Amino acid sequence: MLKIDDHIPGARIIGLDRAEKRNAIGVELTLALEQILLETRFREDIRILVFHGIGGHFSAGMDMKDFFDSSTRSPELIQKARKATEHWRCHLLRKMPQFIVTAVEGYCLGGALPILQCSDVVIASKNAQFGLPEINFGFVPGGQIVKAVELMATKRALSYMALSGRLIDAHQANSWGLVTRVVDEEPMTPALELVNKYLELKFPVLTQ
Amino acid sequence: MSNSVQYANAAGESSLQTQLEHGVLTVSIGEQDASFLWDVTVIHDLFALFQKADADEAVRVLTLQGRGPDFCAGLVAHDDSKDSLEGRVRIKNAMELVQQLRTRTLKLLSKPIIALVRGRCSGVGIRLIEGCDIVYAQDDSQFFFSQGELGLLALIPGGADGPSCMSARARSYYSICGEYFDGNAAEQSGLVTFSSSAQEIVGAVQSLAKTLSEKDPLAVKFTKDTLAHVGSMSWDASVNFTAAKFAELKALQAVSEGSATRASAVASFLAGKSKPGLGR
Repeated sequence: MLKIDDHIPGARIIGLDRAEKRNAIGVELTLALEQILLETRFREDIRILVFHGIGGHFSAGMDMKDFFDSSTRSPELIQKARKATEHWRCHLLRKMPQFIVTAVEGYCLGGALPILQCSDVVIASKNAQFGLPEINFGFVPGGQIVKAVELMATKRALSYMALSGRLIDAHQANSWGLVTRVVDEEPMTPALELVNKYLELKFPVLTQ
Repeated sequence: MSNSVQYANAAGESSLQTQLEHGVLTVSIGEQDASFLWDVTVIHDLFALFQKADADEAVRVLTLQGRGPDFCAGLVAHDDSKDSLEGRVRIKNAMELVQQLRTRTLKLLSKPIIALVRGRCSGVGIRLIEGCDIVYAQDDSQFFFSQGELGLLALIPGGADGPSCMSARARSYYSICGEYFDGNAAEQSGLVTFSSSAQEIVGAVQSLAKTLSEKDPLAVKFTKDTLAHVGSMSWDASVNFTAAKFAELKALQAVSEGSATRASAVASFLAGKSKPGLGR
């Protein structure tokens, strides 16, 4: 579910690894995210985190098949997964002491947006697409997701994305505050360049 | 289908012209081919219209626009308004209605509202679009924070009570300097969603209105509720709010015609027939 890469001393690269589902956050993935953040939080040797998606997309958001109407999971497991989701999304991610860089390509939708909001830098490829598609399926975007988007984007952007369900491109996301920089190439290369620059800093940037 | 009779004001004369087609209620304010100054009557007419539209199931989306060259050229008092007790009461009531429109009526309206701004948009017009969900402005629109409308009180204070969708710096600057600013500057400041060319703006608004009219009305209402409330909540409170809203929405969709919309949309997505964000 997650591909963890610690080959750069001082950095941890966290890849969402569920390419067949466009890295939609299902039960196992959300439990793994909570676990890795708990494990990383007090690691003083890790100074910077990089989030990215494997397989051409960052994440298509929450996995509807796992969490909503058509779920075949047991109620106990869904409850455990929901609790884990709220834990990492509302609390853990916000208190991580590390600098966070996120590299986005392809879809970055719904439940994936709080990761962007907690990131210090977001680098997106020009093919990236952002949105709150819940309304297209008769759902409502979760309050935590709406709150996260409101904290990084304009109110107008939030209303447009939530009510229309339309996706926006990387340049619009940049203009509205969701993204720091749009690049022509795949975004991991500039993200890793940033990691190296950060690790060369004599004094770490305080992110809290 | 023209529907101006249904939405005319109590006196039978309305400063608003309406047209309801495929769930989209288009509201045109003022007079054709003339620069139109709003008066107290316009405020009352708008307030009455929003209340009717909210209760009308045939209306799924509202669009607001100026009928003439301007969205709102300004707001005037009748000549005798300031000279009589009755006139001053009328003005005071209108001011309170403007406040209520922007802070409650539009925010809590169950249908989405799209504003289309062309020409001038003065202080009271800015107050109105502040409460709209999505705003398109023509690139060459002229926004201005007129301080002396109605000759009594500033409708656009420069401080925290200014348009909350604008950046604080833009809000302070334009409220003090009195400069006009165009659609592009309005987009940059967050006052409007998009600035668009004269050739594209009508098509863009119509396309978006059609998109919104096809959504499940219950999901739209609950999304608007979420947008209105979670910003001021703690993270934990927003989790509880969402859980309660999801349960309420599911229960209502199960007994409404909209439930078919949700079921078919989810089935289409799960079957791989629609992609995230592309809808039905």
